[in-house]
Amino acid sequence: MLDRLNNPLYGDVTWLSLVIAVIIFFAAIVLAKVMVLQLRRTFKEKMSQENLELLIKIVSYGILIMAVLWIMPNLGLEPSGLMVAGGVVGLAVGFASQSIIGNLISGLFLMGERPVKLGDQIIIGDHRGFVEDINIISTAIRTLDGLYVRIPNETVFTSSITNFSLNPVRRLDLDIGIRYSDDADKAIRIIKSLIEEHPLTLVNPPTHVFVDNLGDNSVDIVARIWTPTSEWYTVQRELLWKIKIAIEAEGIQIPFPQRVNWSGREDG
Amino acid sequence: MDRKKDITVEKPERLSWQHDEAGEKSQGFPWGPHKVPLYLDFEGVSISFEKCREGLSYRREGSSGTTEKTILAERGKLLLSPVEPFHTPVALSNHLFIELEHPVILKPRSSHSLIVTFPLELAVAFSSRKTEGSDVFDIFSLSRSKFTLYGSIRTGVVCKYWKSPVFEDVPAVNPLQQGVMKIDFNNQMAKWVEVQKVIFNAQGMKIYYSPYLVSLNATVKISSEITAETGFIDQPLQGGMSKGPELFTARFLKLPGRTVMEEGY
Repeated sequence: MLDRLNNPLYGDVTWLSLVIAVIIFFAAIVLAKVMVLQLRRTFKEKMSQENLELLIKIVSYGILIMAVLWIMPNLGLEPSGLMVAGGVVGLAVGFASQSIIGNLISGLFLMGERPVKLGDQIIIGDHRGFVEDINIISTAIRTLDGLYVRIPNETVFTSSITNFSLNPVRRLDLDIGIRYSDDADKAIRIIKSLIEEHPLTLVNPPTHVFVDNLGDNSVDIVARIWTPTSEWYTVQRELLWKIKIAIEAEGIQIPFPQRVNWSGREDG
Repeated sequence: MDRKKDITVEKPERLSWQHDEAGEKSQGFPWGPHKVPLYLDFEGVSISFEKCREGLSYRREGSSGTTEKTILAERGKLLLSPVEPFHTPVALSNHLFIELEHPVILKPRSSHSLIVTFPLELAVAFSSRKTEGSDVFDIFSLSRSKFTLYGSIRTGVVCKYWKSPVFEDVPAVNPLQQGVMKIDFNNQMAKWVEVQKVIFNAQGMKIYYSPYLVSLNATVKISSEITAETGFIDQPLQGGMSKGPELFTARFLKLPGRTVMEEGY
């Protein structure tokens, strides 16, 4: 068996050197996975998730690249020779894989510019969701209903990105319509009081509550409330219904769409 | 026929505490440690700590709802203590923003001490001889929570908000709702400055407490027209105070305590 392994495969490369190269490559994969696990455990609470993921990618890709450089002589490939051949091959690969190179370069620029971070809620094109992973070629997001979407980095880099999570605070606009016959000042007082009582509405920037529009069906009051970005959805869910109940308890109604028809009478 | 002995089972005492609004010397709050069983009522909150089949049962009832925990231990003590006010209703911020009811004006190159109040949260911890230290397993607050933004919408910081009057001497306050902070102001500038707000970082807060008072000792150094540096002194306001648990300690590569206010004061 050992004699067969020493038989040449091609050039100076034997079956044994091929087996050794494969073993080294798989050992490098296992080592990279173990290092990733260990790094996560050690630094999970000491580093931000973004920096930790970047460190993990550098370490795991670094181990794999070192393993490849180590086994190349076993396979009869000299790294220095590749540098010369690489120029020609590079041109050919470049033409054949422009979009992949484009995604790679966009990925590097995204890592430098950082318009999005892990966990941010964003809209890119038609996709709205949370950033799950930022890789060198693509960005993965999880949509609001739990779907996985992989977006090539070139698309991410060249598209408009709406990031809901970047700023520490965000404004919530609530529209409340009341009847023309209701006391708008009273409604505004009730709404302001409820907003002020809620622990997650900010003192600064201040809240503004005012009549915004005299609509066809109602007097439209708008409440512009600032909340911490992470609590925006909670405040929206809780506050609007509380306002409805509170103003209705004071006899103020939210009207349905309605029309008042005036008809003339012929005199005569 | 043997007569059964009459067995009298004493009901555990129910402790009750209420703050005296009139400000006269009231009964001090029983922070602990407390052995099992404990039944304690204060400010609309009821706490019970007693033995159960699995070990020890903790229950807190109040206006914010009911919290129940089972501690898998045979014996231990319950400790109530005031802690940094950054856990409720949501742990959003590590910074405390104190707005002064009336701004204070400091003369050039001067120092002056003032007293303000600050909000509190109450922590419930369990300690036993077998384990080192104590483990906090419940935190709640009896004072109203609000938040505010310090700085711009893009780069600002969300802070826990508190509005406080300014005192020359230590006022009588409810030690379960408010603490008392002595601030040493130091104006390093060659001009008069007006201070309307101060920001403190949770890291490095050194809370001390007694049955009647919870205190902090802080410093504010004003170095330019919009910049000031705040920090804490590890010293109680009065003798005989115990040190509260520090739930916010320095993390890896981060130094504790100092906060630089760069958006004005």
